[in-house]
Amino acid sequence: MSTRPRIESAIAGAPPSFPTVMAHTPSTLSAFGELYSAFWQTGSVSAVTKELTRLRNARVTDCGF
Amino acid sequence: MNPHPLTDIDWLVRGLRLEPLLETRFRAFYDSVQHTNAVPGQILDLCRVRIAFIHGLSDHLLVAAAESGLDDASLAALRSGAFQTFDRDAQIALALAEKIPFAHHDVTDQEVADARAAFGERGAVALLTALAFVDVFCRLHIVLPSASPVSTFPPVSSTEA
Repeated sequence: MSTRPRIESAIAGAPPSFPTVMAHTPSTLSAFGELYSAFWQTGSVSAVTKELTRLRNARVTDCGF
Repeated sequence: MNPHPLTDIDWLVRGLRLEPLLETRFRAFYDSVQHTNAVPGQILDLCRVRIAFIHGLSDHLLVAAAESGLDDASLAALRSGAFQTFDRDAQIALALAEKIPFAHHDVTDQEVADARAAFGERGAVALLTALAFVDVFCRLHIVLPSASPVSTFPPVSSTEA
């Protein structure tokens, strides 16, 4: 696992991060944002339960988010 | 078992129709990832099949391979993980595909640098996003089995001009 950014930000002056690197593919970034927003706004599963599972998934996969 | 092609998302979005907003946006995201022009479609197809092999989706693979027009030698190479017969760009992409499902923390700086050199910054982002999506899609195939009829989205390479 790298501790250095492997791909530069697509936005001048902005540090590399998930959204600024994903901005190299603007249509995918936009579609992802729309999908992620819908994921949190819809469904019969509560946001609390979703967040619990998101956090657990992040731990299992050793993700920093 | 009635396998679905790994390019078929109808079986999945049918399950999302109780949430129309989610269905619409999932399909839009799928289209943006799979139908990018930043990476050759043939390379995405090879990676898709390899990741499916890693997940043991053998029934789906037979359909996916036929869709992608892979010959027996290519399929055997993807099955064994011996990628020397593919061109350099394909090998670079497959090296990343190999690690995405269960060894994503082992992806090296050099492998990402190789992808940047081969496909550019935009292509590297598009490739990594596509690999992650294929991995998710395979996982959904495993946890959401469906007996729905096969209905295909064409493989990426067949939709290119």
